[in-house]
Amino acid sequence: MNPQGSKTRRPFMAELQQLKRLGAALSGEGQAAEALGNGAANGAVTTVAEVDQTEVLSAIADLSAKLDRFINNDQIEIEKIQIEISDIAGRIKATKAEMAALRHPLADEDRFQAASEELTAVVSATESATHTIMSAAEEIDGIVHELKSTLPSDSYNAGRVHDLAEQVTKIYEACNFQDLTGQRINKVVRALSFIEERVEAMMSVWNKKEFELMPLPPGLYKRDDGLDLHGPNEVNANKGMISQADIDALFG
Amino acid sequence: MKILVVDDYATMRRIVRNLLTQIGYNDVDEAGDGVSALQKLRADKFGLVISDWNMEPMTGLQLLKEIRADNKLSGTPFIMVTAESKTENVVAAKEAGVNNYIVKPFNAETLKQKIQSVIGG
Repeated sequence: MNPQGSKTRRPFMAELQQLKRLGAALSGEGQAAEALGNGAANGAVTTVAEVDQTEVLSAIADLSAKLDRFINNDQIEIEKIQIEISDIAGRIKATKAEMAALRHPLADEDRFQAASEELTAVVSATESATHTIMSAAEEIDGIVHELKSTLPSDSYNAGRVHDLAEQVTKIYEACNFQDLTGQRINKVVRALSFIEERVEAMMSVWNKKEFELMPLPPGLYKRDDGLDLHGPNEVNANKGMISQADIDALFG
Repeated sequence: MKILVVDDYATMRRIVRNLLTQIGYNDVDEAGDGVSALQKLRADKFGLVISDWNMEPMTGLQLLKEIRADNKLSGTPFIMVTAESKTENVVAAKEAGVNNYIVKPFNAETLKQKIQSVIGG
């Protein structure tokens, strides 16, 4: 309802412009203005409204068709995006599961630490064995030198002692392996430490609780009759690794 | 007395054999796993089995159980020589009927003592 209480609605600007163009076509701008003033405008507006309604309906139909095409095309795109998001979600889930397998928050064993400890133990054991071999070789070397000083230099025995000294040298040479393997293993330990840090960094991006809910990874060790087989072990009473003396005590 | 040394690591069998020779036991045979050990035990008479635990396809514990379950072999002394030193493993081996248990690495003297405690003498 307009402010004057009239039932005649106020024409829209588009209608007025249409009327203007219509009026100009009929009898010029003056007549059109007069028509607006003497009530003929109502009839003209009605005509314009009828014309516009057709056009509006046509425009709506056109818009609707465009919208349908847009929605149809968009739906395909949306479905593609949904598939991609689903794929990404699957990959994230799989990656998280792999990370959890590497370093599960609730796992008893820290695999990286365990691997580092095993490798460090290898270095230590080979070092110890090498020292024993070297000590024995040095002892033999001492005997060789002692024998050399007591034997005539051109005798058969002196020649055999010389051969023995050469073999001792070969033992010394072979013992170099420990230094090399030790260095290589230490490199692997450092690489493991680096990987461990990266895994921890990746896991810190996500919620720790998510990883806790994931299934625990299977143990690394072989099992026999419900028992872990993960020797050799260092003696460690806290972890249940006992000494030969403890074993002897069990056998009375 | 004939001794059967069972270990999947040939070097270890060689070490045990050499140590046995050093301490006076010259009649020694070897097997690379539990299955071939059982075959040898059933084909010949052995006075002692010295076996590793962690082997494929039959472990030392399984070999021990097979021996104890076999009427003809059940009385054969059995020493486990292994790197497994967990209490529960030792207890499980004992419950399965092992006569003694040696943790690697070991020396000739330990081997000698254990053999003597099992077979006497």
